[in-house]
Amino acid sequence: MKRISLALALAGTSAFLVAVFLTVTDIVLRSFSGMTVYGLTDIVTLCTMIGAMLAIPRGFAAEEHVAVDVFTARMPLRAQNVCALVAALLALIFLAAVAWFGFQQMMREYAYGDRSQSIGIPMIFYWLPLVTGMAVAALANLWLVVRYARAVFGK
Amino acid sequence: MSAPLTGVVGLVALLALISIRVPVAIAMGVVGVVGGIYINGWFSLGFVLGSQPFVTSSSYSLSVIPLFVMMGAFASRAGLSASLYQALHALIGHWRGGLASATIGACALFGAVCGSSLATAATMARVAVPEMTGIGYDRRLTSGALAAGGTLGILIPPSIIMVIFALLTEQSIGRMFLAGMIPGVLAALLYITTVTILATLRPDWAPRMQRVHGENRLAALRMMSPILGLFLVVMGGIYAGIFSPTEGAGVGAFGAIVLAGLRGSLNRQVIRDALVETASTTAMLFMILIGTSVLQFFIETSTLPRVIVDWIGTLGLSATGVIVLILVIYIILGCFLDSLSMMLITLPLVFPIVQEMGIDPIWFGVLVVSVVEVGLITPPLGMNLYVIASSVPNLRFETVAAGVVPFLLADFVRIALLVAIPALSLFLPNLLM
Repeated sequence: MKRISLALALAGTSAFLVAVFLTVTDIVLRSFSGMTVYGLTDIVTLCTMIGAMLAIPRGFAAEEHVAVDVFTARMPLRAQNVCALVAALLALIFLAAVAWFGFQQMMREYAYGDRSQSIGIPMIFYWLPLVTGMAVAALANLWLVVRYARAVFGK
Repeated sequence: MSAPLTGVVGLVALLALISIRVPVAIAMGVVGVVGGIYINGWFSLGFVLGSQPFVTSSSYSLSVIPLFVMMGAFASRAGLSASLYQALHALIGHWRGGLASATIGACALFGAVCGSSLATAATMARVAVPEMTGIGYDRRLTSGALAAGGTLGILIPPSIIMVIFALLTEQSIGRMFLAGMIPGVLAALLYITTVTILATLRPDWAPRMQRVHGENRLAALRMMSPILGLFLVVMGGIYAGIFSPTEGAGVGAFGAIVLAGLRGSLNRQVIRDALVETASTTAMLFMILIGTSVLQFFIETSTLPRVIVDWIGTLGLSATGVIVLILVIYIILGCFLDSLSMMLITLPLVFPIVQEMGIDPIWFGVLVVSVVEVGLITPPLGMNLYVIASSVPNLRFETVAAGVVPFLLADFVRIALLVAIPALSLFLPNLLM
């Protein structure tokens, strides 16, 4: 799961590089020729969605999301594992719910044919990274639930 | 149970979940969903989970966050921090406590292109500690200066926390950046003053260095030029109206990549590491923003902010009194909560009060960022203290915590000045925008 989520994060973050180079190209073009990169705002927003959302599963798989361990660090190992199990279960439920309701909303917007404002990118392309990121993040937490359940309840 | 009481119970539940190591974003999301269902019924679930995360994360203005993060990630790996430290070492290393002051100066300048306190502290620790230790600096002074200097990364613009504050409260990012300029410089000067006082009182803590002369000082200035150039291009471009803050972040990231390339440090491993850091930080920030958006819906529908505003009205406090009260609560919370989470959890409650009292939101933003910064170096949960302790072999957390105490005093002096003299924050934005 760590490898898959890392690969997904790296693929997604490459979209930021696209955003960087298009932004610089746009500034250079409009400074020297009066031309612009058509629909830059829409494209950069899409790149941000892709990069940020596809990176979220890695944060869970690597347990890098912000958490406070000042109290749990002093607990016995079994109690720490119970806390980690609860955390992963809650994350699994929340992320799966966001993915599910997001998927439903995405399909509604797809049916309506919603598009972005300036160059008309179908909104489904903005929804896909969010739904994918949340679904894979839920899977990452399912993996954590299994791992910590084994640690708490034995095999 | 009344809606405001549900809001209070929700916040208590939130703190309970955070204390058992549930990720802050998930804790906010879960409490927001459960509280929202309790107050508004099941029909709110589809709206909250189906729309809020998307609306929050699909805004163009949010693109500024990953781009500034990427700029810092590449700048950290381009070897700019080492050049900066060496340059300041040559320029002010002969002062009383000169190396510690050079560390703080380098943190301030590096923070200006990095935007992250933790990255600034970790990067500068790798560069400064071996040199300061080798010369015989006391470990408390070394680690205290590094931990405190690292916090300058979020006060001196461009700062990611300022961007988040501005986006959440619908303020101008440009005005926020300008407002942080003087307080950031003031913070650096107060830290350097603290070093000088410590070095005067305890000369054995900070052995003096030989002065560097002539050509070497010019060479030192030249070493600083890439990082200063990047800062001036980004900030100058934003304030000259050549590009927006988001575009400025893109230019900054591009500049950091080019600088890394020019210095020959842009290999496959560096690119991969920088992208992984960008991914991790961006994911963490976006997940917290999503959690905040869900929690915010619950807090707003609980009407708890309205009740608090009314209650504060009955206390008869002045605007300054309210600000002091809020800051004291923030400083206490900052000892136990992650700084960014603390800001995001409390803003939906606190910002309506600030608006109701007619307090300038930009001034308030600078004060909040300042106390968030203090939270990074207050034990037991000052993240910078952990970063420094884990970056240096055989350095105990307690040593870092003891070393940072004098710098905390400097922080309190600065916050008092910022509260007493709002112009320190508002002069530049009012002058230039």
